[in-house]
Amino acid sequence: MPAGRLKTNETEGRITLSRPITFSFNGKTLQGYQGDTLASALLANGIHLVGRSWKYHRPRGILGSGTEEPNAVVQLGIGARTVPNVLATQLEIYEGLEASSVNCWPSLEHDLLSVNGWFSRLMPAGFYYKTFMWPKSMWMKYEQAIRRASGLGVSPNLPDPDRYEKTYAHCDVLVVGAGPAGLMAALAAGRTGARVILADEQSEPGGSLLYSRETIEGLPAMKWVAGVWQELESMEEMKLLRRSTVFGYHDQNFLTIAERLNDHLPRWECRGARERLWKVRARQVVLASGALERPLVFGNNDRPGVMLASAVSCYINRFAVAPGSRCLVFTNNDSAYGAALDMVDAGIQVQAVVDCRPRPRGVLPERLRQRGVEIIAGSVVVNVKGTHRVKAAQVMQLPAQNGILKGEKRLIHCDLLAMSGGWSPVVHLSSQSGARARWDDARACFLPGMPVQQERSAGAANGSFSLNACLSEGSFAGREAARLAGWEWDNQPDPPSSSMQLEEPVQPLWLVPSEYAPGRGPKQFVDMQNDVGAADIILAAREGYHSIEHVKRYTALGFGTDQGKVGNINGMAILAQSLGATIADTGTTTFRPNYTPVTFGAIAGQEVGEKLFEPVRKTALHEWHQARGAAFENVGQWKRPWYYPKSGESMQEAVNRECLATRESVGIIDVSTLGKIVITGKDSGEFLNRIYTNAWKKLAIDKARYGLMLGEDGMVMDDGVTIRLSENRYYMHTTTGGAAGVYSWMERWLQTEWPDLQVFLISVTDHWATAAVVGPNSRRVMMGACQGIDFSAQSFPFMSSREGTVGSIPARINRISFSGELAYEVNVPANLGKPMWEVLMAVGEEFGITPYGTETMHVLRAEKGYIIVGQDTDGSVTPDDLGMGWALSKTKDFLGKRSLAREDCMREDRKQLVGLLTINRTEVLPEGGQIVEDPDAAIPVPMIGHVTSSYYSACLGHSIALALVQGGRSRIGEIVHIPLAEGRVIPARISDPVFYDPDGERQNV
Amino acid sequence: MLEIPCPWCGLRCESEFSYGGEAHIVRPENPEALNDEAWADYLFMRKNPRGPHLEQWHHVYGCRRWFNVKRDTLSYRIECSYRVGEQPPEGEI
Amino acid sequence: MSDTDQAESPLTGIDWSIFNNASGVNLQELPFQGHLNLRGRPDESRFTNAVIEVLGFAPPLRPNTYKVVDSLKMYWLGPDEWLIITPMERQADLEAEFDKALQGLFSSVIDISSGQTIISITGPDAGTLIQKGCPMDLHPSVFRPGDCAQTLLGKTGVLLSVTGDPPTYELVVRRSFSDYLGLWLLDAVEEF
Repeated sequence: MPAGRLKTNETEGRITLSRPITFSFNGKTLQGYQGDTLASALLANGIHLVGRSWKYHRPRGILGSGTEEPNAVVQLGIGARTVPNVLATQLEIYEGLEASSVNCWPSLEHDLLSVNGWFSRLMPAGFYYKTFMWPKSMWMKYEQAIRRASGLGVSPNLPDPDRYEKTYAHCDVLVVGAGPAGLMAALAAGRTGARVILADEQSEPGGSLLYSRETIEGLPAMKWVAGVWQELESMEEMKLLRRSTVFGYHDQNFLTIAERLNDHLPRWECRGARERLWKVRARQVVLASGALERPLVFGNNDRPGVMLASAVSCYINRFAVAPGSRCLVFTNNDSAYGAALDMVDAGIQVQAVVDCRPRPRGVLPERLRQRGVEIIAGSVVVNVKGTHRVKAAQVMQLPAQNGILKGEKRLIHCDLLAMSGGWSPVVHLSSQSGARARWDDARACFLPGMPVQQERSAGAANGSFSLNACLSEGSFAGREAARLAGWEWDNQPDPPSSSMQLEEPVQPLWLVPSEYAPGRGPKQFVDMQNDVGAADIILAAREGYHSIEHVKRYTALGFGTDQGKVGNINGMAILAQSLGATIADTGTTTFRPNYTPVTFGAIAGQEVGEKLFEPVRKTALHEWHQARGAAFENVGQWKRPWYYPKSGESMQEAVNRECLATRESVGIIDVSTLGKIVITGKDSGEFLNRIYTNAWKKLAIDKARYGLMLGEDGMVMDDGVTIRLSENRYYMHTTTGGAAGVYSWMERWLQTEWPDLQVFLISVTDHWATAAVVGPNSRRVMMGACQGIDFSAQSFPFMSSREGTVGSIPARINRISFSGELAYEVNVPANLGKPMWEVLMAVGEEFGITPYGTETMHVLRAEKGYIIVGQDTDGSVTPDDLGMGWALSKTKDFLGKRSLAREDCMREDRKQLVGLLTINRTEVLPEGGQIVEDPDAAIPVPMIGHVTSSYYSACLGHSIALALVQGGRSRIGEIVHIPLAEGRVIPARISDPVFYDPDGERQNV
Repeated sequence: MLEIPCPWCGLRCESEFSYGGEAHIVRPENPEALNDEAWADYLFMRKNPRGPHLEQWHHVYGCRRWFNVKRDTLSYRIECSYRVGEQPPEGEI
Repeated sequence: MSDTDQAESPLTGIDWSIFNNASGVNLQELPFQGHLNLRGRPDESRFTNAVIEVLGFAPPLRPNTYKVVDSLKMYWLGPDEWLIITPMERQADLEAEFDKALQGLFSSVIDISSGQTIISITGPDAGTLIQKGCPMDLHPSVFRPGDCAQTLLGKTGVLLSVTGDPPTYELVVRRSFSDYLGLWLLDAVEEF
C-alpha cells in the first residue's frame, strides 16, 4: 500500500481496497483504488506538486477536493480524445488513465517559464494591457507568444470520436445536489408522488456526508444515505442522475444538466454515449448545491501542501489518504477544528491550530484541546516556507496596527497547512435564475437572494451550515416545492436529526495582515488559477477601478475555468476594504452559466455533420439525380442538382453542354422545390391584389401571371407565377428559398390586418413533384408523353395551364418559362414523381432530352435578364431598380406601394439592374465584384455598383453578367472596371440586361 | 429558452415560435394620403421599452396562428397572451 | 405495369429493420394513406353539418386532439384547419363528397397525400425516444390518448399523436423532411 494511504481499521472510506487500479501521471505509472479521484490517488502516492500556475508558473498542488479546485488542472488522455482543463479532484481514476500536468515545459519539476515568478513584481494587474499595447503593429506577435506561455492545456485537433446524447425532460421538482439537504428534498417531494429529478455532480450521493463522521438517526452518515437512496430508487416518478452537473439556470425554470456517462470508465468498458445533455423544464426547483470553503489570503498561500481544511477531512475520511504527516491548521471559524480532529484520529500530527479569533470556546475547539492540541488564538499565519512543498509556516499575533503586525514571528514546521476562511454558499444557480445574492454579516457570506423564478435554496446553499439545519430545510423545501407543483402528502415524517454540534460564529478575515503593508511582502494569492494576488486588487482600486466588474476585467479575477469559485468572495472583500466600502455595497460579479466547463460535444450532441446538423430536404426525384451522378447545390435546406457531369467533364463543360442542348433541342429540370401555395376563398383575387404589385381579378381561369411581391418598405421580397385554377382558387409559386417566409407573411396579413377577407392558404409544396421540360422540342416531348391535351400554340398558349395525364399519371401542365424557351412544367403528386420523370425521359430520348441543374437554369435565365430574388436583389432593390416598373399597378393599393413614392426610392442615382459584357469575352467576373469607374482613382476608390450574377454563356459564346450600377440604365455602352482581390482589373461594357432573344419570340412559338 | 402561451395550444417552447415585433400597429387606411413622415412613422418607428412590451408571435411549428404576448423585456416574464383582434389587458399599452 | 403502380412513398430510402429487431422501439412507415387538408369555420353550422354528412362525425374542436372513427382519423390542426387520414382507396371519393357538400361555403378540401407521410413508433422506449428531440412534455399523464400536437422533433416540424397504454405514437412529417427525420430517428434509437 502506498505511503500516503491510511491504515485505518474501521473503514477504508469510499474506496475499494480489493480493486486496485493502475494509471499514469506525467508518464509515471502509479496505483490507486476503485473510488479514488486522481487527486486522492496522487496524494496517496505522496505527489503534491501537480501543476504550474498560469501567469507566473509557480508550482501548485491540490487545494480542494471537488469542483472548486483552481490548481490541480490536468490534461487527460491523448489524440482525438484528449481533454484539457480536467480537475484532478473530480476525475475518477480508471484502469489505463493517462494524465499530465499543464503549464510546464520542459517538465513539472523544472519549468523554464517560472522565471516569470521572479519578475512578478514587474507583472502587476493590467500588465498585458499596459506593456504590450505598443507599438500597435507588434500586438499580434506578442499575443502569440503570450498565448503559448499561458493556457490550461490543449484541445484535440482531431474530430471527436465520441457519441453525445441530448434529451428534453420535464418534472415537477428538480433537486440540485444529493447532499443531506438535497436527499431530504428529493425524499419529501418524491413521497408525494411528484415527478422529481435529483441531479448530483459526484460519482455517488452524499455530498458532504461522503466524508462526514457524524451519525444521522443513529446511523453512520453514509449508511443513512444508502437507505435514503434505496427509497428514492423505488419511486416510480423519481429520476436519479449521478455524475450530472446542473450547469445552467435559464429563463422560466429551464435548466441544463451535463451527465457524464463514460468519463469514469476505461476505454474498453465505455458503451454508448460519452455524455448526455438534459434540457429540463422544471415546475419547481430546490437548490441544495452546498457551500464551498474559502481559503485564507496570506503570504505564499499557494504552495503545494496548503489545502482547504474540508479537503483534508475529505481525503482522510472518504479516500483513506493522509495528505501530510505534520499539519498546521489556520482558521477563522469552528469547522476547521473538525478537520483537526479527523487528523488526530487518523494519526496525523497536528502541530497547532492558529485561530484569528481571540477566544475560541466552541464544542469542537474544546474537544481538540482535550486531545492535547495547542490552539494559538488571536493569531494568524503570515507566510509559508518551502517552494515545491510546505516546509514551515510563520505565525504572528494580532491585532494589527495600521494594518501592520509587529512582534515576534513564530516558525512552526509542517508539511501540510489546512486552512479555513469560512464558507460560501454555492449561490451560482440561484443568481443565474435572476435572484440577487445578498450579503449576510453574521455568517460572513453571500446568501441566495429573493427568488424571481420558481426556486428555493436549502441547507448549506442557503447559509444553513449545520447538518440538522440541512436535513430539516431540505425536507421542508422538497415538500413545499411539491405542494406548489400540485402534490401533497399528509404523512410526511419529521426530518431526521444528527449528532452534529452547534458552532461559534465565524470571524471574517479577508486579507491576512503581516509585517508588511497590504500588498507588500510575499505574494498573497486570491485567485490561484489566474495568479491574481491581493496586491493586484489593491493596485486596481488605487488606479481608480471601483466597480467589481471592472476590477474583474482588469485583474482577471475569476476569469479562469474555475470561474473563481474559491477566490472571488475574498477578492470582492479585499476590494471593499481597499475602497473603504462594505462588501454589500461592492457586490458580486455576475454569475453566468456555465457553472462548470461543459464540453462542446455535449452541447452539439449528434447534430453534427452532413446528416443531422441541418435538415436536408430532398425532392421525390433525389435518388434519380444521385444515380445520374448529379453534383448537388444547397438551396436553403434543399439539395438541388447543380449539374450532371459526364465522365471526364468539368463543371463548365457540363453546363455548356446542358445549356446548348436545352436551347437547341430539349432539356429537363426538377423544379419541385419551388414553394407552392393554394389560395382559396371568394376574396382570393382581392388578396392577391394586395399582396402582389399587379392586378389579378381579371386573370382568366387556367391562365398564369407573373407576380412581384414587395415588403411594406417597397423592396422586392419574392416573385413567381400564379395560376388561376377556378373562380375562387389560385395556385401560387414562390421562390425556393422564400417559400416559408412568404407563407408566414401572407398568413400574417390575413390574420392580423384583413380577417374580413375570406381566404384560406394551404401549403402544397411537398405534395407536388414538378419537372420543367424546356426547349424548342419540348412540345414534341409533351405530345408524346401526354394524353388529353391539345398542345397546339393556339389552344395551349404561353402562360396557361391544362390538366391531363403523363403516361397514365394525372398531371397539371403549366406553359410557363424561366429560360425564354418554349417550356412546360409538369406537376404530379410527388409519390408519382419518379414514374412521371421516367416517362418524360423515355419520350424525350429521341430528341436527346438532357437533364440540367440549377447552374444551367441560372445561365439560361441570366441570358434573358430574368432576376433571381435574393441573388440579384438584396432587400434594398425596388421594382423600378430592376426595370420592372411595368409590373406596378397604378390603379390599386398594394403592400409597399406607398414606399415607392418616398424620396429615397425616387432618386435618379439609385443602383439599377444592367448587363455587363466583359471586353475579354471569355473572362467571367466574380459575383459580388465591386464596380468602379476609374480603377486608378485615389483610395478609397468610389464604388458605383456590384456584380450580382455572372456566367459564361455557351449560347452567346460570351461571358455575361448582371449588375446593379448607380444610374445604370443611362450608362449603357460605358466601360466600367471590376478590380479583383489579386490586383488585376477587368474592364466590361454596360449593356441591356437581356442578352438573348430580346423580343421573346422563342417562348411564344 | 422561453415558454410561450399560445392562445390555442397552451404553453409551448420558444423554438416552436417566430417573433413578429411590436403588436397593435395598424396599417393606415389610405397610405397615399400620408406624407412621407407619417408613412415612415408607420413603417419604421417602434417602441423599445425596458419593461412590459406588447408584441406579436407566430406559432409557426404549431397551429400557425399569429397572436399577441405581453412580455417584460427586462425579466422576460410573460404576463399573458391574447388573440389577434382582442384588446391588451386593462390599463396597458 | 402502369405508371401509377410505381408510386414511391417518401421514406422508400430508409431501412428501418436495422434497429427494429431486439430493440425497445419499433419504427415503421405507414405509406400511401390519403391525407386531406380541410379548412372551414367551425362556428358555421353548415360547415360542421357538411363534415358530419361526409364523415359521419363532427370535427374535433378541442385544440390538439384527434378523433378516430373506423378507418378515418381526423386531427385538429388549428381553429379552422383539420387533417383527415383515410385509406387511399377512399381518398378520391371523400374529396369529391366534400367538394359537393361544401359547395358555396367558405371552406376547402385539398389533397396533400403525396406531401407527407406517417411514421409509427411503438415499443416500451417509444416515448423516451421522441422526448429526446421533442420539447413538449410527453409524460403519459400529460400527453394522453386522443391528444395530438404540431411540434418539433429534432429540427423539423411534426404532427405527433398518441394512443393506447402503453403509449404508441404516430408522426406525420412533410415529404421533403422525412428523409432527415428518418435519419434522425435511426440515430436517436441507437441507445435502445
